[in-house]
Amino acid sequence: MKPFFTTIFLIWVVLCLFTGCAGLPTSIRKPFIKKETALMEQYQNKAMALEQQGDLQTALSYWQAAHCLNPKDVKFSNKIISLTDTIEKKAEEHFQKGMVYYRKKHFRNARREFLTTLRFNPNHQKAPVYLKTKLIRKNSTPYTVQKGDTLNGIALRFYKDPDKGLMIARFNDIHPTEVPVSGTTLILPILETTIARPAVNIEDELSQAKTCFKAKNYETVLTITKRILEYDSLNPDAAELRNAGYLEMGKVLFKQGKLLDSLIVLKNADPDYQGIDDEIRKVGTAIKIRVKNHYRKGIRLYLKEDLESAVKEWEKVLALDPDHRDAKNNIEKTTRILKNIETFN
Amino acid sequence: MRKVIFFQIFLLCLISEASYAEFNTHLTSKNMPGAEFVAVKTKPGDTLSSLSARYLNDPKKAWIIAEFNDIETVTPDRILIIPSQLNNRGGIFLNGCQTVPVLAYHQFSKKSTSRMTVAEATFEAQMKYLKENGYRSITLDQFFDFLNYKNPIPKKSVLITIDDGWKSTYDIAVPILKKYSFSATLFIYSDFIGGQKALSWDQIRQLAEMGFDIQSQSKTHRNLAEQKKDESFNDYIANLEKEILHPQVLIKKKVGRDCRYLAYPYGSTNSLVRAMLKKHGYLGAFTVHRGSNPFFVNNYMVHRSTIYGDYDIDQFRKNLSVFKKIDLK
Repeated sequence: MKPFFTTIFLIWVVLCLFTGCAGLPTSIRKPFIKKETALMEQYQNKAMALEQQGDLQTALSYWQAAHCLNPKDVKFSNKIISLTDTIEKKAEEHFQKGMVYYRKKHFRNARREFLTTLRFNPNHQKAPVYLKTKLIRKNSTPYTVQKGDTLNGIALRFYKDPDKGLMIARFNDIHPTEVPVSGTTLILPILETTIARPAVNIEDELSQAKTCFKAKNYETVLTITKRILEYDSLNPDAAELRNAGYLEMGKVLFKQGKLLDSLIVLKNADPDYQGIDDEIRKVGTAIKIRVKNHYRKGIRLYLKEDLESAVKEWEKVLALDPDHRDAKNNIEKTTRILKNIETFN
Repeated sequence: MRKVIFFQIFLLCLISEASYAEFNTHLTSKNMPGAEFVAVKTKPGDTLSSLSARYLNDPKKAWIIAEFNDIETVTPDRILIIPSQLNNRGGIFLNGCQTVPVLAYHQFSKKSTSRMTVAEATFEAQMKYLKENGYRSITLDQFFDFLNYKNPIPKKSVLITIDDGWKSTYDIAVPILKKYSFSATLFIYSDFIGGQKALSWDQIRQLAEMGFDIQSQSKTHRNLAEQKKDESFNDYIANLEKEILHPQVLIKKKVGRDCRYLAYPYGSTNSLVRAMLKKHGYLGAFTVHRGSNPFFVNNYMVHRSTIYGDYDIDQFRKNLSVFKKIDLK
């Protein structure tokens, strides 16, 4: 029996060596091979389509994926090698074009060419350097110290202001009275000619808001403070004026009898602002009393059989308290009665 | 008898191999250093994260498998190609290139009371929108790796940032961010921290441990680009240095993390501020100029879009551009 098993074993080994993974039992391997082939074709088609569109780098990745599914297919490895060469050549062509534009200071075109370089060859060494450093606005410039230079002298030459020597010292961690060593490199920050002004002149706006507050022009106070807070959300003076504006405006509306408007305005202020809570409570109580009065008046009118006026009173109740159940029910019932009377007449 | 057993074991090995097939192709050239592709037949229980952990040594790189195979989930008995890396680090295509939106939030409340305050329900709706539409929040390091042309990021990446250091970040925003598995960067201005409405250092430490980035928005939130009326130029420089250095030192001391990025108060900057940031080891900084960022943006002038409290979902959506059209044929 021994030679029989040895022979079978050796046949298996030889088969496996010859066929690699394909040497697995056919029944198990077959579905996988089918899927593999289909996927390989899919990648191949995708790669060819991308090549036609000119998207060589993405095409390359799909050729690599196809190659990965069948590493022994020379067609794929050859394709990858030739495509890689084409990509490198194209990338270099665009990089050189970019350099021509860069030297002519046509930076927009240079950027486009450097980007195209990377589209072809993402591993291009120089294109990212140009895109990330040379085409970006500089914030400082290096300066090599000459014999006899002083900080104030450099400042005078570079900034036309000897006092800026202190800034150079601070930037380069040297003492302001120290003479810089000849041959060393100093970093000189570039100063923009115009200093950025804030979009909102807070001081002027605040002073204007305060004047308006004194003049009891609360609407303008709220408009100005809103503008300041949009720019500087943490400005304490603007926040104070805004809250005070809401509080005072709420009080005015309350005095005018516009209770709901008053409540809405007061609720816009910060809930923990001093006096807001009391004022909201006061308005709330007044609303409750008014609701009660309108409701009762409605009942009285209903008993006097003035149904239309009664409904009007309950509607006033709902305007102040939209959740008032009794008023809602009464309106429903009374409207139904009014309709019936109309039909009967 | 021994040979028979050995033969059966050998046969079993081959059969089991067939149920989990894998081919590994190492394809290198001077143009494609280290590029590797692996073909994997998926089995029940495989997920994008588990495959990513196994083949890319990092479950967070699952998006690479998803994007290359154009899938959202893994189904068993399917062949997937796993590239060890994506070469297109800048997301550059024939018709343009990838951009990353950076969203800037400030304060949150149960109900919005001002433009700078986003209501809880609105924030929840915005995060839900991001999740349902396939956006992935990235960390600051991932973002700057992209800007520095080091590593690619998912196509629909978004960076969420929250300014100032309001307490409502902890109470309202963080639970929602966690619900949708999003991360965020907090830009705090150190003088505000510990105040009545502000985060405490203890809360900031907790957030850092949860994976939130803690970075600087200066010391006092002054406009860094503006020399005050009563301030000499030299005082301005000295104060500027304080504004930049103080939070850096404090964050390191209180949170134990490096502070390398800054959000300019009011988004204002100038070349002097930027040079000062660079001198003190800051690697990037954020403005509030609306717009998304391609990789070639100036690292010290990154665009950010402020999300206001009165934005509806359409206005929010307009700030999520992930592609800039440029003819790159």
